[in-house]
Amino acid sequence: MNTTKIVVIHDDIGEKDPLLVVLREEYGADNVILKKKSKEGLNYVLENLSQKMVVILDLNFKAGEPSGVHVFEGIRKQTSLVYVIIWTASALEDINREDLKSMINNDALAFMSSTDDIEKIVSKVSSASHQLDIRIDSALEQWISLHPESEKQSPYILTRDGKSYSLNEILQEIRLKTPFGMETEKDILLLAIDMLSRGKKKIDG
Amino acid sequence: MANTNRFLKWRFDVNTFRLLGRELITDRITAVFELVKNCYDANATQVNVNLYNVTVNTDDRKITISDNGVGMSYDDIENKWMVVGTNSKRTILYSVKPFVRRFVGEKGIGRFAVDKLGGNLSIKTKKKGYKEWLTVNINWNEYEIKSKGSQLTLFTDIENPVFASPGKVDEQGTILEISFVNEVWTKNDIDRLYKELTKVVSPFHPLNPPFNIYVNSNEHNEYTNKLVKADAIKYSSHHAAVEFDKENGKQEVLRFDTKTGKIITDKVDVKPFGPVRIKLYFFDEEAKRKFRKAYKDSDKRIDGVKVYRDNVVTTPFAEFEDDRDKQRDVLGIDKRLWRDIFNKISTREVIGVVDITKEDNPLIIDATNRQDFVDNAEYRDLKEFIIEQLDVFSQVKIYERLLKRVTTTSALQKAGRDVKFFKEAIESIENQNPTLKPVLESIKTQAIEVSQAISKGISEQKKERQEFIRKENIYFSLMSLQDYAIRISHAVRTSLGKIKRMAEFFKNNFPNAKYEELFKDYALMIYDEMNTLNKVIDFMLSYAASNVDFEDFSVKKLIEELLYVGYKQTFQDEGIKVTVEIKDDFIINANKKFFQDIIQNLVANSIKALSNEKNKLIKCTGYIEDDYFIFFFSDNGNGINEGEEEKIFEIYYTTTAEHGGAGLGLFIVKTRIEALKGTVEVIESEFKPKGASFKISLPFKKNE
Repeated sequence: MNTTKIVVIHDDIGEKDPLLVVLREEYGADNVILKKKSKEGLNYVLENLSQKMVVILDLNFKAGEPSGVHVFEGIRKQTSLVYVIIWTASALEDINREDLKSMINNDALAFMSSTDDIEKIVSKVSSASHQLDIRIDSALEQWISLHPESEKQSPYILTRDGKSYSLNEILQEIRLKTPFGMETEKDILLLAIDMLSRGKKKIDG
Repeated sequence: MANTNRFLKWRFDVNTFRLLGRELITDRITAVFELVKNCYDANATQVNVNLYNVTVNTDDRKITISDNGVGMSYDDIENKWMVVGTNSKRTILYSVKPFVRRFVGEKGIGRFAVDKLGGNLSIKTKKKGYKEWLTVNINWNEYEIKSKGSQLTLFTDIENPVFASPGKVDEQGTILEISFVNEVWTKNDIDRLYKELTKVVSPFHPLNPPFNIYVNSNEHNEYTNKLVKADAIKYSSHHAAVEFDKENGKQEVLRFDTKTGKIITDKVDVKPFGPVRIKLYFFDEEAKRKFRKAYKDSDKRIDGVKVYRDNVVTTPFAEFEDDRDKQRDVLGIDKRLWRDIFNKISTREVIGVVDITKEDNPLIIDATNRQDFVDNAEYRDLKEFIIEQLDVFSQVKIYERLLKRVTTTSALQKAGRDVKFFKEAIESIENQNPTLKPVLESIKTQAIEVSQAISKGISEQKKERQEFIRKENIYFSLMSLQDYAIRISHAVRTSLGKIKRMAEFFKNNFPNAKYEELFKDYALMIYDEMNTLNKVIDFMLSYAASNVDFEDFSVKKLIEELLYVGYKQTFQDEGIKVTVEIKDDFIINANKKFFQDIIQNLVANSIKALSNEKNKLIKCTGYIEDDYFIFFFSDNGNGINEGEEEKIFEIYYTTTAEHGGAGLGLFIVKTRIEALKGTVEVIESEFKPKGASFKISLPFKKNE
């Protein structure tokens, strides 16, 4: 399994910031990336969507740079596979209420203050990284990303009531927690447990 | 569908719950208000807000909010009520026919509002056509206990029981019963609630189909099925209204006639945003006093202009906000204030209603967040139009103040003349009848005393005027301070965060040979960061009372003194050649300290920019143009990168970190200039292709 990349998008910290030093110890120097310009940060995330990624995102950027909320929305338009931790010097009540709601609804993993302990932030990153490893939809999205685009969109499963779902749709259904999605999620788990209990490593019919 | 003994789970985690419920809905009034707005969205024609035993501290305190709206199905509860910020109201802006109501409830906030009110909630609801009423019981206290645990996800695992009970097919509605009410509601609280509820529907036009809200309290007779209805607007000193003539495409606009001192209406073509009706009630100082006196025991306030679409409030969003400064001012009425606080009309001086309709004003589009309208040309025009109508009252204000001053001054001068004449008359009688001299002497002395008193009165009045101007000036500098306080605190927290992380790193890792270099770096960085913090704090402290006084001084002299004398040694040491060409010598009434700060920070900035330049130049030129003093400050240093012309004024933005730049200098320049109501911009360098030039415009203070 490939390692998680930690992308810090923040214009007010330097490469030597202790948070980066500690994160690099933990995840390897190459896997912790600092982007001081929000636009570059967003582009980096979008260009590396097949990577497992945790983003630590500042909200306030200098004039002319997209805001943190904008970056967050840009990421969410493409994927919910990436975990985003908001790290800001603004007090919670100073964040625009609509932005706050949008971030919560779109699964911002946590809101951290710029004065929080490194330890606290690192532990959030590590739990995010762990969750990335175990989420079914994440595993599935990674698996689906290996397929060509045409395959992702063509019918893959036909249900008993005659409805067909493409790979992308299956993922969508799981994420939206629809009855079909939840059923499929459960089936995948049951299959995994079944295979595990029978010591199987391959589905061979 | 068998609904008995089913369970529902929330679809978001406990963090969200706490965040939205406890931190965003901070007030009980807003909480009830949110729930009532939901009833409106559900096409209810009647809502009953029932407060039972809420004034006393007993266990049976209850708040019930019931409506005859469309109710919810099991699916609605599961997919809308149990999800935060559901999309249903976001994509659809209007409710079903025949109501076609514009949704007013805040997305998904209602359920958190309930939590704010009490520990237990029962939702009983039914849609028309369904056979059963559904009841969900939610025990918020259980969540509180869970929320204190470490397993956050457990929140979504809690099962909320659902029961079904038989009902008639054509019944519909929703009843929210909140028990274990958190706080005691005094009569005053209920009055406040009532007053807020009056804002939902336009005070001038009833709704059709109706939306009647009734407030009940078993503890106060006054609240026995009391229909919520707005009071007539009383005590205003001036009022005006604009109407329109749709047939001929004409819109009325207000105009102040300086000859008659009256507000009149003109007719113009209907504006691109469509025809509007506006009613404005202005309160001058005396009217405000009367208003406050009449409503001193209630929460009724002069609270600005509201926009109603099809007779329902749209903006400001009518949510209760106790702190005046935090109230939404989407029309931007108060934003203009700092520019001219004593003449512009503020939301605290006017009550106004702007009526628009879906049909006539289709280009005024509701923003999807429903807190405002979509920012398009038409909406900007509408805002401008409203402000133009309000400005008529500014002119009334100026006119009346001038009139008063003129009247007082001329009355005083006339009195002075009368006394003088009186004295002369006495002297003439005295001359004609010398025998009367002893009798007239005391009258003459009195006349002289009165004359002196009047002269003193006139000079006192003049002093008062000056004092007024002085206070006005101080106010301006403080207003801009408020704007920057938020940015400063953000900057301080960023600095503190950096220092804290480095200290934490020391704490956890020192000593460790592996990090030796880092330790050294951090020690230096902590030192620099502390210096920056110190500068930020000095800047804040410079606003302390002793420094905000305004005084008269010559700008030419000040700049020449600073650049030729104050910085003489520095410029010599740095090898910088300075040219100062201030064309006009004039006296300005401003804060001298602010002015010095501007020059000093520009100089400091230039010195850093010139560090690698051989032939170092600084040039400062200035002249008067209309009501502005314009001056240019230039150097031939390494200049400003394209695209950074605005960024350089932001706090903590620096391109000269290697020369000790902390990103404060130009921020101070900008804030100081704004405090003096001026502007600063980067223009094409006088020494191009090298260097940087700043253009600074400062308005004169008009001494009326």
